[in-house]
Amino acid sequence: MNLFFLGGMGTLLLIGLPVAFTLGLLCIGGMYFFNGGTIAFNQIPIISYKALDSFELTALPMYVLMSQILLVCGVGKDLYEMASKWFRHLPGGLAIGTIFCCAIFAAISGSSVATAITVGSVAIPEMVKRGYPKKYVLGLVAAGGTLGILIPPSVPMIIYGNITGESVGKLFIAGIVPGVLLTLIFMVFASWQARHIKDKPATWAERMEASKKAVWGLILPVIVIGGIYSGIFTPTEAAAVGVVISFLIAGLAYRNLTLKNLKEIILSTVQTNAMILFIIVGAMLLGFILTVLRIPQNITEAVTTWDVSPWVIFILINIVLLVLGCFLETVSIIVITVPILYPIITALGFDPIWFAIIMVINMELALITPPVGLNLFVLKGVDKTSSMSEIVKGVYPYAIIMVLLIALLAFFPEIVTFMTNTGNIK
Amino acid sequence: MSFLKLLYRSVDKVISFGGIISGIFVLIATGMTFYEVVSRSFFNKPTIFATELSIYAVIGSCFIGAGYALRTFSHITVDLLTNAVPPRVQNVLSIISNLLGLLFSVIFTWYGIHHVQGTYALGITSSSLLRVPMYLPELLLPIGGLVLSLAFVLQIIDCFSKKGETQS
Repeated sequence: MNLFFLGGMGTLLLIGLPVAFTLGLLCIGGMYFFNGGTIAFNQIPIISYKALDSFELTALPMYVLMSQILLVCGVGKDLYEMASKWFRHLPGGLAIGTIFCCAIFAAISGSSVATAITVGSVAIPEMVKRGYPKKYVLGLVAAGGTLGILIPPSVPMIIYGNITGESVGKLFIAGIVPGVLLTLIFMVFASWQARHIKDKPATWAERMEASKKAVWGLILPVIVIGGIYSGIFTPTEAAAVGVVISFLIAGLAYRNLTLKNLKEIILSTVQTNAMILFIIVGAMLLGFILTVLRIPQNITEAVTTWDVSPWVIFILINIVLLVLGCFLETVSIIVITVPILYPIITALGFDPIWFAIIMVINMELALITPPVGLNLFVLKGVDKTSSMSEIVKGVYPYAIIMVLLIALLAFFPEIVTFMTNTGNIK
Repeated sequence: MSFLKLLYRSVDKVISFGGIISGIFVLIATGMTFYEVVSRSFFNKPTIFATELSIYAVIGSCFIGAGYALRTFSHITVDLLTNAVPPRVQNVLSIISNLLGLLFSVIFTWYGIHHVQGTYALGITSSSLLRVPMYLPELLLPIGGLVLSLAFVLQIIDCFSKKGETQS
C-alpha cells in the first residue's frame, strides 16, 4: 500500500501530471483500491470544499496580488536605486545593497520568486556593468530572493498554519529575527566576496532624493508587519490593507495602473493563486485517504518509538526535506510532508512554530538546489545570457550559510521564539 | 472542420473568461476584507458578511481559475523526465498525463454535482447569520471542475495538433 502511494506519486509526477492533480488522482486511486471502491468518492467534494474553507487562507491570494501589483508598478527600481546610493561606497557595496533590497521586498511580498524577479531585473544589469563578476551577482540574487518566504509575509507560512492550525500571525512574527539575521549574514558574505569593488560615495542630497522616491516601498512593510505584530490586523486583514495601499501607490505615486497593467496583474495573480490553492486541495484529498488508511499515524508511531535522540530524527527530517527540495517546489513539499511531520515533531516535544521556521529555511534551500530550484530558473529567465551552471556555482556558498543557520537555530531556539512571546499577535 | 475550430475557440474563450472571473473573485475578497477592517476599526461596526463571503470568493477563485491556469501551464509540474526525452515521446507523455488529469477532473465534477444536488434537496444553509444556501458556494466546485475538464480536453487536442510544444 505504501508502495502504491510512493510509486504512484513518482510515476505521475515524472510523466508530467501537475502536482495538484497527481495528489488528487492518488486520493481517487487510494479510495478505489483500499477504501471500498467508488462509494468513497462522495467524500471528494466535501474534502475539497473544506480544504479552502478557512479565513486564514483567504490571505494567500491577497499577498499574491500585492506582490504582482508591486512587481508591475516598478517599486523595485526605486528601492534598488536607494539601496545603491546608501551602500555603494562600502566594499562590495552594490552587493550589500542588492541583499538589502531583497530583504525589503521580501517584507512586502510573500513569494521568493517575485522577490528574485523584481530585484534581479534591476540589480543584475547594474552590477554587471559596475564590474561585479556575473557568477557572484547571479548567486547573490538567487539566494537573496529566497528571503521572500522567510521574512513575513510568507505564502508557505500561511499554508503551514492552515494545515497545522498554528497561528499564521505568530508564524509571520517568528520569521522576522531569523530573516534579519540571514540578511545580515548574506550581506557580510556578499561584501567579502566582492571586497575589492568600491564606488565613490553618493552625496547626502542624492541619498535623500533616492530615499524620498523609495518611501512608498518602505511604508508597506511597516504597515503590514507592524499591524500584525501590534495586533491591529490579522494576517488576512493586513493583506487586504496592503493590497489597497499597493493599488494606491501604483495608481497615484507611480501612475502606471493602466487597464493593460491591471489585466496583467489580475491574470498572473489568478495563475499563481489557482495553482497554489489547487495543490492545497489535492494535498487535503491525499491527506484524507492516507489518514483513513492510518499511514501517517503508523509512521509517527514507528518514528517516536525509535530509541534514538529526538535530534537524530530532527536531522533526518532535515535531510529528507533537503533531498525533496532538489526535486519538488516548496508549496508541494509543505503540503505533502507537514501532515506527516507535524505529529512527529509535536510528539517529540519540539516547538511547532520553531519547526516551521526551520522548515521554511529548508524550503529556501529547495529554491536554489538543482536540478529543480525555482529561483535558478527564474534568474535564467531574467538574464537570458546566463547558464545554469554559472548560477549554481554562484549560489552554493549561500546554501551552506542556510544550513549553518538551521544549525544555529537548532542550538538557540530562542532566536525564533522570543519575538512570538512578546507582541500582541492575533 | 470550421465548426470544430469554432467550438475549440469558444471553449478556449470560456476558460479564459473563467480566469477573469477568478481574478474578480480575488478582488472581491480583498475589497470585502478591507471594508470589514475599515468598518470595524473606524466605525466600530463589524460586518456579518465579509468573512464568510470572502471565503466563498477565494474558493471560487481556485476552482473557476484552475482551467485557465492549466491552459497557461501555470500548474507546477516536475519536468525532469519530460524535458530529457525527445519531442515525440514528450508529446505521448503529455497526452497520457492530460488524460489522467481529465480522469481526475471528470470524477471531481461528477461527484461534485451529486453533492450539490444533495445539499440543494436537503436545503442546508450556512451556520452563520447570513444563512447562505450551501449549494451556492458548493456549486463553484463542479462548475470549476467542468471548466478544468474542458481545459484538459483542449490540452489533449493541442498535443495531437502539435501545438503542445509551445509550452514554456
